[in-house]
Amino acid sequence: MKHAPHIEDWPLPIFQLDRKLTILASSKLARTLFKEASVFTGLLEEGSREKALKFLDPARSNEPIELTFLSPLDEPMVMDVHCKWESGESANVIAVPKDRHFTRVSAQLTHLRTRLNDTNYDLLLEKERTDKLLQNVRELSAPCIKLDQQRLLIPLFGAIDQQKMITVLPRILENVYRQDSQSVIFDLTAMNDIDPDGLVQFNALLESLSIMGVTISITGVHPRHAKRLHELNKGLQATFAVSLQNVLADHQI
Amino acid sequence: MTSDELADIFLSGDDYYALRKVQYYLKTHTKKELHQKMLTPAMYRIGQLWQENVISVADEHLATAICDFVISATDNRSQAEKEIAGKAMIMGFEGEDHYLGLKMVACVFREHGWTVHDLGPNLPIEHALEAAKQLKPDVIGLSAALVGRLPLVKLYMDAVQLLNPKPTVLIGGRAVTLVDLSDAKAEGAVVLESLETLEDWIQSRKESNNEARAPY
Repeated sequence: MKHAPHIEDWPLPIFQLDRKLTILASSKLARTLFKEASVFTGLLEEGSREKALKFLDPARSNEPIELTFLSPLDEPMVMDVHCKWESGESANVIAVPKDRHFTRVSAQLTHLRTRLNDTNYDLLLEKERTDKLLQNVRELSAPCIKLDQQRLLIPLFGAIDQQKMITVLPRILENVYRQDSQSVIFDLTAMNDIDPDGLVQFNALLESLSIMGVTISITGVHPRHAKRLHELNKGLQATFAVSLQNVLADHQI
Repeated sequence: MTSDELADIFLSGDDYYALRKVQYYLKTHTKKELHQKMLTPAMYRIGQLWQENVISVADEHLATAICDFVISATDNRSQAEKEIAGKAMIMGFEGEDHYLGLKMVACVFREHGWTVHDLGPNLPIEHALEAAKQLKPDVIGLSAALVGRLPLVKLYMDAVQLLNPKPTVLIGGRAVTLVDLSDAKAEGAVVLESLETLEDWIQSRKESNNEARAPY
Protein backbone atom coordinates (compact mmCIF):
# COMPACT_ATOMS: atom_id res chain seq x y z
CA MET A 1 0.00 0.00 0.00
CA LYS A 2 1.66 3.28 -1.07
CA HIS A 3 1.07 6.64 0.58
CA ALA A 4 -0.63 8.91 -1.89
CA PRO A 5 1.00 12.29 -1.24
CA HIS A 6 -2.00 14.28 -2.49
CA ILE A 7 -4.41 12.67 0.03
CA GLU A 8 -1.98 11.95 2.88
CA ASP A 9 -2.75 15.00 4.99
CA TRP A 10 -6.46 15.34 4.44
CA PRO A 11 -8.43 15.92 7.67
CA LEU A 12 -10.66 12.91 6.97
CA PRO A 13 -10.04 9.20 6.44
CA ILE A 14 -9.67 8.72 2.68
CA PHE A 15 -9.08 5.54 0.71
CA GLN A 16 -8.42 4.49 -2.85
CA LEU A 17 -9.86 1.05 -3.50
CA ASP A 18 -9.89 -1.35 -6.41
CA ARG A 19 -12.84 -3.46 -7.59
CA LYS A 20 -12.19 -6.07 -4.90
CA LEU A 21 -12.05 -3.31 -2.25
CA THR A 22 -8.33 -3.79 -1.70
CA ILE A 23 -6.88 -0.62 -0.21
CA LEU A 24 -4.51 0.88 -2.79
CA ALA A 25 -3.78 4.04 -0.84
CA SER A 26 -5.05 5.80 2.26
CA SER A 27 -4.68 9.06 4.14
CA LYS A 28 -2.75 9.27 7.40
CA LEU A 29 -5.93 9.63 9.44
CA ALA A 30 -7.37 6.48 7.83
CA ARG A 31 -4.38 4.53 9.07
CA THR A 32 -4.40 5.88 12.64
CA LEU A 33 -8.15 5.92 13.26
CA PHE A 34 -8.93 2.35 12.24
CA LYS A 35 -7.56 -1.15 12.65
CA GLU A 36 -4.91 -2.22 10.22
CA ALA A 37 -6.19 -4.09 7.18
CA SER A 38 -5.29 -4.58 3.56
CA VAL A 39 -8.88 -4.92 2.43
CA PHE A 40 -11.52 -2.27 3.17
CA THR A 41 -13.94 -4.76 4.73
CA GLY A 42 -11.23 -5.68 7.25
CA LEU A 43 -11.70 -2.23 8.83
CA LEU A 44 -15.36 -2.86 9.49
CA GLU A 45 -17.47 -4.49 12.18
CA GLU A 46 -18.95 -7.80 11.09
CA GLY A 47 -22.44 -6.37 10.63
CA SER A 48 -21.15 -3.81 8.15
CA ARG A 49 -19.04 -6.02 5.88
CA GLU A 50 -21.83 -7.38 3.75
CA LYS A 51 -23.35 -3.94 3.43
CA ALA A 52 -20.03 -2.55 2.20
CA LEU A 53 -19.67 -5.33 -0.37
CA LYS A 54 -23.18 -4.70 -1.58
CA PHE A 55 -23.07 -0.93 -1.85
CA LEU A 56 -19.45 -0.21 -2.75
CA ASP A 57 -20.08 -1.30 -6.31
CA PRO A 58 -19.73 0.73 -9.52
CA ALA A 59 -23.25 -0.27 -10.52
CA ARG A 60 -24.71 1.42 -7.43
CA SER A 61 -25.59 5.08 -7.13
CA ASN A 62 -23.25 7.42 -5.28
CA GLU A 63 -25.49 7.77 -2.25
CA PRO A 64 -23.57 7.74 1.03
CA ILE A 65 -23.91 4.67 3.25
CA GLU A 66 -23.48 4.24 6.98
CA LEU A 67 -20.82 1.76 8.05
CA THR A 68 -19.45 0.80 11.45
CA PHE A 69 -15.63 0.88 11.58
CA LEU A 70 -13.52 -0.59 14.34
CA SER A 71 -10.81 1.40 16.09
CA PRO A 72 -7.47 -0.27 16.87
CA LEU A 73 -9.02 -1.06 20.29
CA ASP A 74 -12.08 -2.65 18.66
CA GLU A 75 -14.38 0.22 19.55
CA PRO A 76 -17.18 0.70 17.00
CA MET A 77 -17.41 4.04 15.15
CA VAL A 78 -20.29 4.83 12.84
CA MET A 79 -19.38 6.89 9.77
CA ASP A 80 -21.01 8.02 6.57
CA VAL A 81 -19.08 6.62 3.65
CA HIS A 82 -19.06 8.49 0.32
CA CYS A 83 -17.73 6.68 -2.68
CA LYS A 84 -17.04 7.61 -6.29
CA TRP A 85 -15.84 5.16 -8.91
CA GLU A 86 -13.43 6.13 -11.63
CA SER A 87 -14.11 4.16 -14.82
CA GLY A 88 -15.41 1.32 -12.69
CA GLU A 89 -11.93 0.16 -11.78
CA SER A 90 -10.91 2.20 -8.77
CA ALA A 91 -12.86 4.19 -6.23
CA ASN A 92 -12.19 7.21 -4.04
CA VAL A 93 -13.80 6.70 -0.67
CA ILE A 94 -14.19 9.23 2.14
CA ALA A 95 -15.44 8.31 5.61
CA VAL A 96 -17.14 11.17 7.45
CA PRO A 97 -17.63 10.71 11.21
CA LYS A 98 -21.19 11.09 12.39
CA ASP A 99 -22.18 14.47 13.70
CA ARG A 100 -20.62 14.80 17.15
CA HIS A 101 -23.95 15.90 18.51
CA PHE A 102 -25.47 12.58 17.53
CA THR A 103 -22.63 10.61 19.09
CA ARG A 104 -22.91 12.57 22.32
CA VAL A 105 -26.68 12.05 22.61
CA SER A 106 -26.31 8.39 21.78
CA ALA A 107 -23.63 7.91 24.45
CA GLN A 108 -25.78 9.81 26.93
CA LEU A 109 -28.74 7.52 26.24
CA THR A 110 -26.60 4.43 26.74
CA HIS A 111 -25.35 5.89 30.00
CA LEU A 112 -28.88 6.61 31.22
CA ARG A 113 -30.02 3.14 30.32
CA THR A 114 -27.08 1.61 32.18
CA ARG A 115 -27.89 3.71 35.22
CA LEU A 116 -31.53 2.62 35.17
CA ASN A 117 -30.37 -0.95 34.89
CA ASP A 118 -28.00 -0.57 37.84
CA THR A 119 -30.72 0.99 39.95
CA ASN A 120 -33.02 -1.82 38.96
CA TYR A 121 -30.39 -4.33 40.02
CA ASP A 122 -29.77 -2.60 43.36
CA LEU A 123 -33.51 -2.52 44.02
CA LEU A 124 -33.69 -6.22 43.29
CA LEU A 125 -30.98 -6.94 45.83
CA GLU A 126 -32.79 -4.78 48.39
CA LYS A 127 -36.02 -6.60 47.64
CA GLU A 128 -34.37 -9.94 48.28
CA ARG A 129 -33.08 -8.66 51.59
CA THR A 130 -36.52 -7.35 52.52
CA ASP A 131 -38.12 -10.67 51.60
CA LYS A 132 -35.73 -12.45 53.92
CA LEU A 133 -36.49 -10.03 56.75
CA LEU A 134 -40.21 -10.43 56.16
CA GLN A 135 -39.85 -14.19 56.39
CA ASN A 136 -37.98 -13.71 59.67
CA VAL A 137 -40.76 -11.52 61.00
CA ARG A 138 -43.29 -14.15 60.00
CA GLU A 139 -41.39 -16.85 61.78
CA LEU A 140 -41.14 -14.74 64.91
CA SER A 141 -44.82 -13.83 65.01
CA ALA A 142 -45.91 -17.02 66.79
CA PRO A 143 -43.27 -18.03 69.34
CA CYS A 144 -43.87 -21.22 71.33
CA ILE A 145 -43.31 -20.58 75.02
CA LYS A 146 -43.13 -23.60 77.28
CA LEU A 147 -44.98 -22.84 80.53
CA ASP A 148 -44.49 -26.21 82.19
CA GLN A 149 -44.39 -29.92 81.26
CA GLN A 150 -47.86 -29.88 79.79
CA ARG A 151 -48.60 -26.38 78.65
CA LEU A 152 -47.43 -24.35 75.69
CA LEU A 153 -48.28 -20.66 75.34
CA ILE A 154 -48.37 -19.27 71.78
CA PRO A 155 -49.00 -15.53 71.48
CA LEU A 156 -49.85 -14.41 67.93
CA PHE A 157 -48.41 -11.06 66.85
CA GLY A 158 -49.48 -8.55 64.23
CA ALA A 159 -51.75 -9.10 61.26
CA ILE A 160 -52.28 -12.77 60.55
CA ASP A 161 -52.58 -13.75 56.92
CA GLN A 162 -52.27 -16.93 54.95
CA GLN A 163 -48.56 -16.55 54.33
CA LYS A 164 -47.81 -16.01 57.99
CA MET A 165 -49.89 -18.99 59.10
CA ILE A 166 -48.28 -21.25 56.48
CA THR A 167 -44.88 -20.20 57.78
CA VAL A 168 -45.61 -20.83 61.48
CA LEU A 169 -47.93 -23.84 61.21
CA PRO A 170 -45.38 -26.64 60.73
CA ARG A 171 -43.15 -25.17 63.43
CA ILE A 172 -45.99 -25.03 65.97
CA LEU A 173 -47.04 -28.63 65.27
CA GLU A 174 -43.43 -29.77 65.52
CA ASN A 175 -42.99 -27.95 68.84
CA VAL A 176 -46.16 -29.38 70.34
CA TYR A 177 -45.14 -32.87 69.27
CA ARG A 178 -41.56 -32.65 70.48
CA GLN A 179 -42.44 -31.13 73.87
CA ASP A 180 -45.29 -33.56 74.35
CA SER A 181 -47.61 -30.71 75.35
CA GLN A 182 -51.13 -31.57 76.32
CA SER A 183 -52.52 -28.12 76.26
CA VAL A 184 -51.90 -25.16 73.97
CA ILE A 185 -52.96 -21.62 74.81
CA PHE A 186 -53.25 -19.14 71.96
CA ASP A 187 -53.06 -15.57 73.20
CA LEU A 188 -54.50 -13.08 70.71
CA THR A 189 -53.86 -9.92 72.77
CA ALA A 190 -51.15 -8.70 70.39
CA MET A 191 -52.86 -9.95 67.25
CA ASN A 192 -53.90 -7.15 64.99
CA ASP A 193 -56.38 -8.80 62.68
CA ILE A 194 -56.83 -12.04 60.84
CA ASP A 195 -57.96 -12.17 57.21
CA PRO A 196 -60.27 -14.89 55.77
CA ASP A 197 -57.38 -16.89 54.24
CA GLY A 198 -55.42 -16.64 57.47
CA LEU A 199 -58.48 -17.89 59.34
CA VAL A 200 -58.74 -20.94 57.09
CA GLN A 201 -55.16 -21.80 57.95
CA PHE A 202 -55.71 -21.10 61.66
CA ASN A 203 -58.67 -23.45 61.55
CA ALA A 204 -56.49 -26.11 59.93
CA LEU A 205 -53.93 -25.66 62.70
CA LEU A 206 -56.57 -26.04 65.42
CA GLU A 207 -57.93 -29.16 63.71
CA SER A 208 -54.48 -30.69 63.49
CA LEU A 209 -53.89 -29.98 67.16
CA SER A 210 -57.25 -31.55 68.10
CA ILE A 211 -56.34 -34.68 66.18
CA MET A 212 -53.10 -34.79 68.12
CA GLY A 213 -55.25 -34.86 71.26
CA VAL A 214 -54.23 -31.44 72.48
CA THR A 215 -56.57 -29.25 74.51
CA ILE A 216 -56.86 -25.79 73.01
CA SER A 217 -57.58 -22.55 74.81
CA ILE A 218 -57.91 -19.20 73.12
CA THR A 219 -57.58 -16.02 75.09
CA GLY A 220 -57.16 -12.27 74.60
CA VAL A 221 -59.96 -12.13 72.03
CA HIS A 222 -60.74 -8.59 70.95
CA PRO A 223 -64.23 -7.72 69.59
CA ARG A 224 -62.76 -7.29 66.10
CA HIS A 225 -61.37 -10.84 66.30
CA ALA A 226 -64.63 -12.21 67.62
CA LYS A 227 -66.44 -11.26 64.42
CA ARG A 228 -64.07 -13.45 62.47
CA LEU A 229 -63.49 -16.25 64.94
CA HIS A 230 -67.12 -17.28 64.99
CA GLU A 231 -66.48 -18.57 61.46
CA LEU A 232 -64.24 -21.23 62.96
CA ASN A 233 -65.27 -24.84 62.74
CA LYS A 234 -68.02 -25.28 65.36
CA GLY A 235 -66.94 -28.84 66.04
CA LEU A 236 -63.64 -27.67 67.45
CA GLN A 237 -62.92 -28.49 71.04
CA ALA A 238 -61.48 -25.08 71.88
CA THR A 239 -62.30 -23.13 75.00
CA PHE A 240 -62.30 -19.36 75.02
CA ALA A 241 -61.26 -17.37 78.04
CA VAL A 242 -61.36 -13.66 78.77
CA SER A 243 -57.74 -13.35 79.80
CA LEU A 244 -54.60 -15.36 80.00
CA GLN A 245 -54.78 -15.09 83.76
CA ASN A 246 -58.06 -17.00 83.80
CA VAL A 247 -56.69 -19.78 81.66
CA LEU A 248 -53.64 -20.16 83.80
CA ALA A 249 -55.74 -20.12 86.99
CA ASP A 250 -58.10 -22.79 85.61
CA HIS A 251 -55.27 -25.09 84.75
CA GLN A 252 -53.56 -24.72 88.08
CA ILE A 253 -56.25 -26.53 90.02
CA MET B 1 -50.57 -6.67 12.55
CA THR B 2 -47.49 -8.19 10.93
CA SER B 3 -43.99 -7.94 12.33
CA ASP B 4 -43.05 -5.66 9.40
CA GLU B 5 -45.82 -3.27 10.38
CA LEU B 6 -44.62 -3.35 13.96
CA ALA B 7 -41.11 -2.53 12.74
CA ASP B 8 -42.53 0.54 10.97
CA ILE B 9 -44.30 1.61 14.14
CA PHE B 10 -41.07 1.26 16.11
CA LEU B 11 -39.25 3.32 13.50
CA SER B 12 -41.92 6.03 13.67
CA GLY B 13 -40.94 6.51 17.32
CA ASP B 14 -44.53 6.59 18.60
CA ASP B 15 -44.09 4.73 21.89
CA TYR B 16 -47.70 4.76 23.08
CA TYR B 17 -49.10 3.71 19.74
CA ALA B 18 -46.63 0.83 19.69
CA LEU B 19 -47.66 -0.19 23.20
CA ARG B 20 -51.39 -0.01 22.34
CA LYS B 21 -50.85 -2.18 19.28
CA VAL B 22 -48.88 -4.73 21.28
CA GLN B 23 -51.42 -4.82 24.11
CA TYR B 24 -54.14 -5.45 21.55
CA TYR B 25 -52.05 -8.26 20.08
CA LEU B 26 -51.62 -9.77 23.55
CA LYS B 27 -55.39 -10.11 23.94
CA THR B 28 -55.35 -13.00 21.50
CA HIS B 29 -51.72 -14.15 21.68
CA THR B 30 -49.28 -15.25 24.34
CA LYS B 31 -46.23 -13.33 25.48
CA LYS B 32 -44.08 -15.99 23.88
CA GLU B 33 -45.73 -15.41 20.52
CA LEU B 34 -45.21 -11.68 20.94
CA HIS B 35 -41.49 -12.12 21.55
CA GLN B 36 -40.90 -14.83 19.02
CA LYS B 37 -43.22 -13.92 16.17
CA MET B 38 -43.41 -10.15 16.45
CA LEU B 39 -40.61 -8.42 18.36
CA THR B 40 -37.70 -10.59 17.22
CA PRO B 41 -38.59 -10.51 13.51
CA ALA B 42 -39.43 -6.80 13.74
CA MET B 43 -35.97 -6.04 15.14
CA TYR B 44 -34.29 -8.32 12.58
CA ARG B 45 -36.21 -6.43 9.92
CA ILE B 46 -34.89 -3.13 11.29
CA GLY B 47 -31.34 -4.49 11.12
CA GLN B 48 -32.06 -5.53 7.56
CA LEU B 49 -33.30 -2.04 6.65
CA TRP B 50 -30.01 -0.61 7.88
CA GLN B 51 -28.16 -3.17 5.79
CA GLU B 52 -30.16 -1.98 2.80
CA ASN B 53 -29.20 1.63 3.52
CA VAL B 54 -32.85 2.60 4.03
CA ILE B 55 -32.50 3.77 7.63
CA SER B 56 -29.68 5.21 9.71
CA VAL B 57 -28.17 4.14 13.02
CA ALA B 58 -30.19 6.90 14.71
CA ASP B 59 -33.43 5.33 13.44
CA GLU B 60 -32.23 1.98 14.66
CA HIS B 61 -31.52 3.35 18.14
CA LEU B 62 -34.93 4.95 18.33
CA ALA B 63 -36.67 1.72 17.28
CA THR B 64 -34.63 -0.21 19.85
CA ALA B 65 -35.65 2.20 22.61
CA ILE B 66 -39.35 1.86 21.66
CA CYS B 67 -39.07 -1.93 21.59
CA ASP B 68 -37.34 -1.82 24.98
CA PHE B 69 -40.19 0.28 26.37
CA VAL B 70 -42.79 -2.15 25.01
CA ILE B 71 -41.03 -5.17 26.56
CA SER B 72 -40.75 -3.45 29.95
CA ALA B 73 -44.34 -2.23 29.89
CA THR B 74 -45.76 -5.68 29.12
CA ASP B 75 -43.49 -7.59 31.48
CA ASN B 76 -45.44 -9.10 34.33
CA ARG B 77 -43.16 -8.99 37.33
CA SER B 78 -45.66 -10.01 39.99
CA GLN B 79 -45.71 -13.50 38.55
CA ALA B 80 -42.25 -14.16 39.91
CA GLU B 81 -43.47 -13.85 43.50
CA LYS B 82 -45.56 -17.01 43.47
CA GLU B 83 -42.96 -19.74 43.47
CA ILE B 84 -39.22 -19.73 43.41
CA ALA B 85 -38.29 -22.14 40.67
CA GLY B 86 -34.71 -20.94 40.47
CA LYS B 87 -32.43 -17.98 40.17
CA ALA B 88 -30.99 -16.84 36.86
CA MET B 89 -28.31 -14.27 36.22
CA ILE B 90 -28.18 -13.06 32.63
CA MET B 91 -25.80 -10.75 30.78
CA GLY B 92 -24.19 -9.89 27.48
CA PHE B 93 -20.51 -10.43 26.69
CA GLU B 94 -18.04 -7.62 27.05
CA GLY B 95 -18.16 -5.44 23.94
CA GLU B 96 -21.67 -6.58 23.09
CA ASP B 97 -24.23 -3.78 23.28
CA HIS B 98 -27.34 -5.68 22.26
CA TYR B 99 -29.69 -5.98 25.20
CA LEU B 100 -33.23 -6.59 23.91
CA GLY B 101 -32.65 -10.34 23.77
CA LEU B 102 -31.67 -10.30 27.45
CA LYS B 103 -34.89 -8.55 28.38
CA MET B 104 -36.96 -11.11 26.50
CA VAL B 105 -35.04 -13.93 28.16
CA ALA B 106 -35.70 -12.33 31.55
CA CYS B 107 -39.45 -12.30 30.75
CA VAL B 108 -39.43 -16.00 29.86
CA PHE B 109 -37.65 -16.94 33.08
CA ARG B 110 -39.98 -14.77 35.16
CA GLU B 111 -43.05 -16.30 33.57
CA HIS B 112 -41.81 -19.65 34.85
CA GLY B 113 -41.46 -18.37 38.39
CA TRP B 114 -37.74 -17.70 38.30
CA THR B 115 -35.97 -14.82 39.99
CA VAL B 116 -33.95 -13.00 37.34
CA HIS B 117 -30.98 -10.69 37.66
CA ASP B 118 -30.49 -8.99 34.31
CA LEU B 119 -27.04 -7.44 34.51
CA GLY B 120 -27.36 -5.93 31.05
CA PRO B 121 -25.05 -6.08 28.05
CA ASN B 122 -21.32 -5.45 27.86
CA LEU B 123 -20.45 -6.98 31.21
CA PRO B 124 -16.72 -7.47 31.81
CA ILE B 125 -15.84 -10.89 33.11
CA GLU B 126 -14.58 -9.70 36.49
CA HIS B 127 -17.88 -7.94 37.24
CA ALA B 128 -19.76 -11.02 36.13
CA LEU B 129 -17.77 -13.20 38.51
CA GLU B 130 -18.24 -10.84 41.43
CA ALA B 131 -21.99 -10.71 40.87
CA ALA B 132 -22.15 -14.50 40.52
CA LYS B 133 -20.36 -15.00 43.83
CA GLN B 134 -22.82 -12.71 45.55
CA LEU B 135 -26.01 -13.94 43.89
CA LYS B 136 -25.20 -17.66 43.65
CA PRO B 137 -27.45 -18.21 40.64
CA ASP B 138 -28.60 -21.66 39.44
CA VAL B 139 -28.18 -20.49 35.89
CA ILE B 140 -25.92 -18.01 34.10
CA GLY B 141 -27.29 -16.91 30.75
CA LEU B 142 -24.94 -15.33 28.21
CA SER B 143 -26.16 -13.56 25.11
CA ALA B 144 -24.30 -12.71 21.93
CA ALA B 145 -25.71 -11.09 18.82
CA LEU B 146 -22.30 -10.53 17.22
CA VAL B 147 -20.31 -13.53 16.06
CA GLY B 148 -17.15 -11.62 16.91
CA ARG B 149 -17.98 -11.90 20.62
CA LEU B 150 -18.10 -15.67 20.66
CA PRO B 151 -14.38 -16.29 21.19
CA LEU B 152 -15.05 -14.85 24.66
CA VAL B 153 -17.28 -17.82 25.44
CA LYS B 154 -14.30 -19.89 26.52
CA LEU B 155 -13.06 -17.19 28.91
CA TYR B 156 -16.47 -16.91 30.54
CA MET B 157 -16.84 -20.70 30.71
CA ASP B 158 -13.45 -21.04 32.41
CA ALA B 159 -14.39 -18.34 34.92
CA VAL B 160 -17.67 -20.07 35.75
CA GLN B 161 -15.81 -23.32 36.51
CA LEU B 162 -14.28 -21.53 39.52
CA LEU B 163 -17.67 -20.90 41.10
CA ASN B 164 -19.07 -22.97 43.88
CA PRO B 165 -21.83 -24.11 43.56
CA LYS B 166 -21.33 -24.25 39.81
CA PRO B 167 -24.26 -22.84 37.85
CA THR B 168 -25.49 -24.16 34.52
CA VAL B 169 -24.37 -21.95 31.64
CA LEU B 170 -26.85 -21.14 28.89
CA ILE B 171 -25.66 -19.41 25.73
CA GLY B 172 -28.10 -17.76 23.38
CA GLY B 173 -28.55 -14.87 20.96
CA ARG B 174 -28.47 -14.45 17.22
CA ALA B 175 -24.78 -15.37 16.98
CA VAL B 176 -25.27 -18.94 18.23
CA THR B 177 -27.39 -19.71 15.19
CA LEU B 178 -24.49 -18.72 12.92
CA VAL B 179 -21.51 -20.61 14.37
CA ASP B 180 -20.62 -23.97 15.85
CA LEU B 181 -20.29 -23.99 19.65
CA SER B 182 -19.49 -27.65 20.23
CA ASP B 183 -16.44 -26.75 22.39
CA ALA B 184 -18.62 -24.87 24.86
CA LYS B 185 -21.17 -27.69 24.75
CA ALA B 186 -18.43 -30.16 25.62
CA GLU B 187 -17.67 -28.08 28.71
CA GLY B 188 -21.28 -28.41 29.82
CA ALA B 189 -22.85 -25.26 28.37
CA VAL B 190 -26.33 -25.44 26.94
CA VAL B 191 -26.75 -23.63 23.64
CA LEU B 192 -30.22 -22.26 22.98
CA GLU B 193 -31.15 -21.00 19.53
CA SER B 194 -34.46 -19.39 20.40
CA LEU B 195 -36.80 -18.37 23.22
CA GLU B 196 -38.74 -21.51 22.42
CA THR B 197 -35.77 -23.76 23.14
CA LEU B 198 -35.15 -21.80 26.35
CA GLU B 199 -38.70 -22.51 27.41
CA ASP B 200 -38.28 -26.21 26.62
CA TRP B 201 -35.10 -26.26 28.68
CA ILE B 202 -36.80 -24.61 31.68
CA GLN B 203 -39.65 -27.09 31.40
CA SER B 204 -37.41 -30.16 31.22
CA ARG B 205 -35.36 -28.91 34.18
CA LYS B 206 -38.54 -28.54 36.19
CA GLU B 207 -39.60 -32.06 35.31
CA SER B 208 -36.26 -33.62 36.18
CA ASN B 209 -36.25 -31.70 39.49
CA ASN B 210 -39.71 -33.00 40.28
CA GLU B 211 -38.57 -36.54 39.57
CA ALA B 212 -35.56 -36.09 41.81
CA ARG B 213 -37.85 -34.91 44.63
CA ALA B 214 -40.42 -37.69 44.20
CA PRO B 215 -40.30 -40.18 47.08
CA TYR B 216 -40.28 -43.31 44.92
